[in-house]
Amino acid sequence: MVVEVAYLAIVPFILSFLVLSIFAKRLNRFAPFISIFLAAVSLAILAVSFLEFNQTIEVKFSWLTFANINFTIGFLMDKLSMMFALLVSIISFFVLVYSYSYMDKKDALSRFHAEMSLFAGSMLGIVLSSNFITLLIFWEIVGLSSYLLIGFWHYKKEAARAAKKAFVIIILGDVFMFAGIAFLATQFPSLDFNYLNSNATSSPFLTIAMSLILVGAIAKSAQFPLHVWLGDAMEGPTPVSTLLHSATMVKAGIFLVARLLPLYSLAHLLDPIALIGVATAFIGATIAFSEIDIKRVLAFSTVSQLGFMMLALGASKIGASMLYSFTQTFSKAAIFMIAGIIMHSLKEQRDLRKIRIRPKSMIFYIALLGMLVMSGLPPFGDFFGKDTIVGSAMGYNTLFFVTILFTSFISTLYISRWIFLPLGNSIKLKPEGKKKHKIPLTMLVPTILLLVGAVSSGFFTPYLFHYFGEAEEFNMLSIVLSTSSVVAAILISYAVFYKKMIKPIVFVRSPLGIFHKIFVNKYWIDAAYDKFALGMFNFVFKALDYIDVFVIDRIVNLFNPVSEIFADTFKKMQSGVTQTYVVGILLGLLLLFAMLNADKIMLLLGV
Amino acid sequence: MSIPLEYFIVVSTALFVIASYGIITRKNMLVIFMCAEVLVAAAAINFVAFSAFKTGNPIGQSFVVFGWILSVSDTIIALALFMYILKEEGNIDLTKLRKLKW
Repeated sequence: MVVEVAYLAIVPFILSFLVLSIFAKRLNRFAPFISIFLAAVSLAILAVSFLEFNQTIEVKFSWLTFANINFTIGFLMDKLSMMFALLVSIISFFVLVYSYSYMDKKDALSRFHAEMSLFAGSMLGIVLSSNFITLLIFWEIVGLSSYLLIGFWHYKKEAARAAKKAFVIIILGDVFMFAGIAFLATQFPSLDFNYLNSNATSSPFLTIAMSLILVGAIAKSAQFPLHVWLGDAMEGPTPVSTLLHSATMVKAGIFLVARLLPLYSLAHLLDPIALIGVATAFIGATIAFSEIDIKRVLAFSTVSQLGFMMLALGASKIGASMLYSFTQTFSKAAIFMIAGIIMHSLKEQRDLRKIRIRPKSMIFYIALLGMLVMSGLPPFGDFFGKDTIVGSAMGYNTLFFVTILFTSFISTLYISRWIFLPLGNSIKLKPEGKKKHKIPLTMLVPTILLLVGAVSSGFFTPYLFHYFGEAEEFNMLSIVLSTSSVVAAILISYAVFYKKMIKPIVFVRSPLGIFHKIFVNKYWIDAAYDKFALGMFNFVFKALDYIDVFVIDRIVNLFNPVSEIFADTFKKMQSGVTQTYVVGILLGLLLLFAMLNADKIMLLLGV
Repeated sequence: MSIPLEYFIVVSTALFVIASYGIITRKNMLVIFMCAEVLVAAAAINFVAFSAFKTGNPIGQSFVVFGWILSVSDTIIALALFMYILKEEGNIDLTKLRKLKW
C-alpha cells in the first residue's frame, strides 16, 4: 500500500533541494530536468496513494522525550491532508514545467529549482503533519523559502525589500503561533491534532492559545490586517507567485484553521474568523480593483479569495471552504501563468496601461477563458466554490452576506478590468513587441491543463462534499443574485474599460473619487505600518543605544585599570625565548608531580 | 626476566632528564629537536616496560609503534619548517628567534 507511506512524497523534493544546492554550479543547466523529474516522482506517489486512500492513517516517529511531553514527528493522512497534498504536488509539477521556459537561462537555475523544491517539500510537510511540532518545523521552512524566492532577483531593490517585508510579517505571525503552541503544550500532554480536536475543552486558556495560533495563520494566509506583504511579494518571478503566493503557500493558514476547526469552535473564535474573512475579502477586492500592476491585481484578488475561504471556515462550512480552495487553486494558478506569458512576451512589463493584448490572438482566448472562470460564471469551477460560500454566508449573517455578495461583484469587476484594460489599450507597441511572439510549449501546456482543471473542477463538487461528509447546499436565491451580479459586472467593465463609454477618470473626479483614493492607497494600512512600526523600532533602538553607551560601557570601563595592571605585570612572561617556556612547562610538571605525591614527600622529609 | 622493572624506569628517567637538559640549554634547533625525540623514546621505554611487566598483553608495546609513526611524520614537518626558517631568517639558532613576544 503506497498510501501508508504517502508522506515519503516529501523526500523527492528534499532530495532535489539537497542535490541542486550542493552541486549548484555543475548542475545549473540540468537543474530543471532534475527538479521536474523528482516532482513527477512525488506526484506519482501522491496520486497513487490518493486513489488507494480510504481511511485515516497516522504515522509517528519519536523524536525527543522531556519530563511530560513527547515530541514526535508525525504524519497524518486523512481527507483534508490528502486533498491538499495532491493539489500541492500537481501545481508544483506544472509550475516547475512552466518555469523551464519562463526563467532565463542565465539566471541561477540551480538556486531557483532548489528553493522551489524546498518549498514544495515543506508545503507537503505542513499538510501531512499530524502534530504541532512537525507542523512548526515545515511551517518555518516554508516561510524561509518564500523569503528566498520573493528575493530571487535580489539585485532588484524592490525584490529585496519585498522579501524582507514578507519575511518580517510572516515571522511576526510565527512568533505568536509559537507562543500559542507553547501555551497548548503546558495544558495538554500531547500536541497531536487528533488528540487536541477530540480531548480539548472550552476554557479561557484555549481561547488565548488558539487566538495566538490564529495570528500565525492570518499572517501566512495574508488576511487583514497582516495582508500587506502579499502585494509586494509579486516582485518575485511569476512561477514563484503562481506556486507560493496564489495556489499553495497562502493556503497554509486556511489549512491550519480547517484542521483545527473543532478547537476553534470550542474556543469561541469562529465569529472573529468569519469577521476577518469578510473584512479581508472586501479590502482585498477593492484594492485589486484599483491596482494597475498585472500581478498585483491578482495578488490582492488572492487576498480577497482567501478571505472568502476564511469566512466559510468561520461559518464552520468546511466543505464550502475546501471546495473553493480546490477550484481556486486551479483557476488562480492558471491565470497567474497567463499573466506570466503576457509579461514574458513583453520583457517583464507589468503596468496594465502599457500592455496590449491583441484581439483574436491565442493568448487573448486563453486569457478570456481564464477571466470567465475566475469571475465565477455558472459552468466553471469557481462558480461552485464562490457560490457555496456566498450561500453559506446567507444563513450565517445577513450583513456578511450582503458584503460578500458586493465583494463578489467587485471581484468580477477587477478581473474583467484586468483583461479589458489591456485589450482596449491603443498604445503602439515597440518594434520588438510587434514581432509575432511564439508562446513556448512548456509554458502553454501547463497553462492550458490547469485551465482545463479550473473549468472542470466544479464537477467534483458533489464528490468533494461527499468526501468531507457534508451535504451540498445550494441556495437558489444567492446563486441567482451572485450570477446576475457577475454578468452585470462584466457588462459594466466591458463598457467602461474596453469601449470607454464612460472614461474611468470621470469616476475619479466625481465625489466617488474619495473611494478611489482610499483604494489606491490601500486604506493607508501599509503607510500606517511603516509609520508606527518604524517609529516604535526607532524608539526601542534609541533606548537600547542609550543603555549600551551610558550603562554597559561605563560598567566595563570601571574594570579597565584592574585588567591593565594585570596585563602589565604578566606580559613580561612572554619573553620570546622559547626555552624559558620549556623550563616553565617542566617546573609545572614537577609541581604537579609533587602535589600528587605530597604525602610521600612529607614522609621522606620526615615532617 | 633477568632485568628487573626498576632498571628500565631508571634508564627512561635518565633519558628524560638528559633530553630535557638538552632542550633547555642547546641553541641549535636541530639538536633540540633530536633531544625532543629522545624524550619520546624515554616515554616509549616506559610503555614497553610496563606493558611487558605488568599487563602481559602487547597493547602497550604496539602503542609504541604508533608513537614511532607519529614521530617520523612530525620529523618530516619539523625538518621542512627548519628549512623554511633557515631560508627566511638565515639561521636556526633558537635564542636568536625572538620575534614572538609581547
